[in-house]
Amino acid sequence: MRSTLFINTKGPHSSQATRESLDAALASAAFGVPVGLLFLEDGVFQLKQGQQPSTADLKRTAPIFQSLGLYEISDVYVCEEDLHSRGLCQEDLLIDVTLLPASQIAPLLASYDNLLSF
Amino acid sequence: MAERKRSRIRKPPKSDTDSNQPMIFAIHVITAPYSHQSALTALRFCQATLAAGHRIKRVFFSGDGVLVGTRLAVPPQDEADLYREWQVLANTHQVELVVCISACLRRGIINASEAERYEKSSHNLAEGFLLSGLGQLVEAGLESDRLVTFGA
Repeated sequence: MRSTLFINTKGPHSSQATRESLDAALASAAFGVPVGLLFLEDGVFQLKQGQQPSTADLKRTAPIFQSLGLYEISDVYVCEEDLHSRGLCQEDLLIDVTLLPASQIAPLLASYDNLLSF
Repeated sequence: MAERKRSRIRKPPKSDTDSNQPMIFAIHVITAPYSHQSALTALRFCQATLAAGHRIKRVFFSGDGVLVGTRLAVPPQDEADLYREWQVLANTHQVELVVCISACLRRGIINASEAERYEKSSHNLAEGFLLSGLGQLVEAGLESDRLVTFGA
């Protein structure tokens, strides 16, 4: 089965990107596709704890991230430099992730058959 | 990542080294027509892909990309008509054009049966476009040699 890595680079609530990426990732997992998630640039904010999107009449995405395990999605990667340069650290994130230095991103991309960017 | 991931690295298929070997492409478009260059580039890429003798398994439009499925748009006559060109491509080369149903419902692109289901007074999905779910994107990715996203 061809594997797919979902690459997320946009902030959480300024567009539908977060939801659409998660929808596609969950649909892939439901098909039995080995799925990985990668968060780069402002995409790291998608994983930040303590978001209150309902104050802006937006749906919460945290429950979806927290249920990734049910879909057997456990390979979640975050670019270390992108996280730290935004004043965040691993403890600020909703779920367990693997921190990768920027130098390890290219080998990660190469290890997947399909890449989908949102 | 290390061990388990590395095992997924496969030898490139023969088609990677032999440019004469036709490949199957899946195309994913996520930007609205005319808002981004990428929406036009996607169309041109498909035309070039077919002209080079490759096959396109499916074009999947999601997010704002689904707006290309309207039959009510009237672009100025001296500009590329993306709407019509996609339909011509679909008709001429039997390329499947699929628009993401959840993205469509949010944005007001519906076909006759959805109009009936949601009791709307009219429908606007252009001929040649199919309303369907994300599974179509997943399947296209699995059954193609290359999956190319435009507009990310």
